[in-house]
Amino acid sequence: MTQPNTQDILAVMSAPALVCTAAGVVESVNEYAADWLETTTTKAAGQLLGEFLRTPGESLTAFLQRSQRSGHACCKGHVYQVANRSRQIAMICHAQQLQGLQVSGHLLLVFSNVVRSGRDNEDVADFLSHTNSVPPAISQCSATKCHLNPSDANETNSLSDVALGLVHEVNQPLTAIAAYAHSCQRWLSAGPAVHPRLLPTVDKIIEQVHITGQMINSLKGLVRGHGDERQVCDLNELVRESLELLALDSRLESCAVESQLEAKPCPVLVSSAQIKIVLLNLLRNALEASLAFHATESRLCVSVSIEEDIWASATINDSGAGITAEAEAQLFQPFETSKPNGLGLGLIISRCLATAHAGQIDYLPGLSHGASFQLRLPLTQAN
Amino acid sequence: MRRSTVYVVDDNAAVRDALLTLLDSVGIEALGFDSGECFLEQLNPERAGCALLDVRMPGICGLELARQMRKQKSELPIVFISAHGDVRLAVEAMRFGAEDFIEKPFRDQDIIDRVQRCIELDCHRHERLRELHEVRQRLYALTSREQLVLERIVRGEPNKEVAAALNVSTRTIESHRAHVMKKMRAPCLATLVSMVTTVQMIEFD
Repeated sequence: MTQPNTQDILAVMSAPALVCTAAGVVESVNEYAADWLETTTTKAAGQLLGEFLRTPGESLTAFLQRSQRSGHACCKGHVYQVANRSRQIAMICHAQQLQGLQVSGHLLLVFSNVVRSGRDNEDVADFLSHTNSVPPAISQCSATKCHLNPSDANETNSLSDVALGLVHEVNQPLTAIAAYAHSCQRWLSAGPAVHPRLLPTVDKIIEQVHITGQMINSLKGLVRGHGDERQVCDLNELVRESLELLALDSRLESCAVESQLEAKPCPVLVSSAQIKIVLLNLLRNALEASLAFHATESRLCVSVSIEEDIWASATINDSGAGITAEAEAQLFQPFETSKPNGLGLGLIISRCLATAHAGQIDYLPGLSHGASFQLRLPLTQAN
Repeated sequence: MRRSTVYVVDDNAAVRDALLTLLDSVGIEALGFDSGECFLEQLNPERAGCALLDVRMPGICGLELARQMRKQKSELPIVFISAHGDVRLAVEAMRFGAEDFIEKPFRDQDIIDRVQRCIELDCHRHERLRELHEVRQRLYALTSREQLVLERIVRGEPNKEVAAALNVSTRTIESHRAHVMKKMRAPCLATLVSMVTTVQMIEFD
């Protein structure tokens, strides 16, 4: 197992769970996953996962129910949301032109057994080699990745990965629909006689439209619904946890991080997973901007503060090239990006998530160098 | 145009079926495969056509498939289709000798035009191969004496020199020369030279 793969997987962060099967059906597995995490040990999880990967027919949901019933001891804090990872790894693989995860009917690799420090590469490698022996295509996929793309190992941005993966998934039925429709058009323009394949082809179009609809509905579930369980969290804590996740990114080694947390607690009523997505996305943007501008003396600074007694804010400054007036106007436009491999959706999705929490994300202009973004969330009563 | 086959290799059943339907609606004969492995088994090098390969598939991916096709000496024109084209992938595809790179979803006319162009290209290639094969057959049908004479005349040696070198009369060489031209079906020396050099070039490869 090579370093880039491990790093790549470690760079994945948690998000609401969504699993794509080979048939393109998207399953939400959050609730099961959350319960499962509460009730399994790392070791038992590994064993169960091995079992799962060896059982081609079983769906992830069924697997999680089964493991929940078998009631393993707690490994809370040791495993991130298992299903999220499976999906995101699948998405990364998609995003990086990789093949092989559609093994045995599942477009997923369930990844657990990662200790919270995330630095324990041996554990990860061990787990991966175990899974490799089960679906052979996965090892092939790792090999292909190294072959195709050694330099891209660090360029994973999970929001873009998710979006990119979904773009790919939705594109498939769209392609089929377009080709079917064009065929019908040809048959119809050939003459008044009804071509025998016309009706069956129209049926196929309708079927593909339904499949597309299902995918889009599940995408909605990513932002709302599942993973939306809100609780009172301290923004300081969320920032700290996001920084921990960011620390898994090996590029951080060449960038100094400074954090100034608020001395008082900053209680906010949020879905911690979603806010961490937002924070991590802003942090990654800052990291990338800093490194792109000045590879050796990069610096990023995060501060948390309370404003006007009603807002808890997290401000992220980078030492990048800054944002031109032109680019500023495009900041929150979809598909506008300054990154070579970016999709231009990170800030949009982040803003949607912030808005869903009655908060906002702003670009703070006027900095002499670098750029500054701020996430503001309404303060709530601590319970 | 000779009969041709388009091979559609895509693991997504709907996309594959839709492409086959589309090609069928314009009368292009096509075969679908859900994996590169199946396709490689069925690949018929005698048949002209082209391959539409999805870039991402479980097992052998599109790029790897193209590599293996070339390794098996298949020169079938390749068009890659990808659900999201990016520049790097397109460059990679071209390096593997792809004729074209199309993004999903595509306009029907785009893909039909490209497929037809590829089929034409491949038919020409097969035509040239057939001609080459025939020329080679004719070359092998020459007697060893005639082959010796041929070698010298394509080098531009006059009959007299050839006669002297082979220690026979000029008349004999003239007669051999006439036979060579007839057997090779070459109307003039220039055509004969071009036939021989083409065969030599290919055999040199």
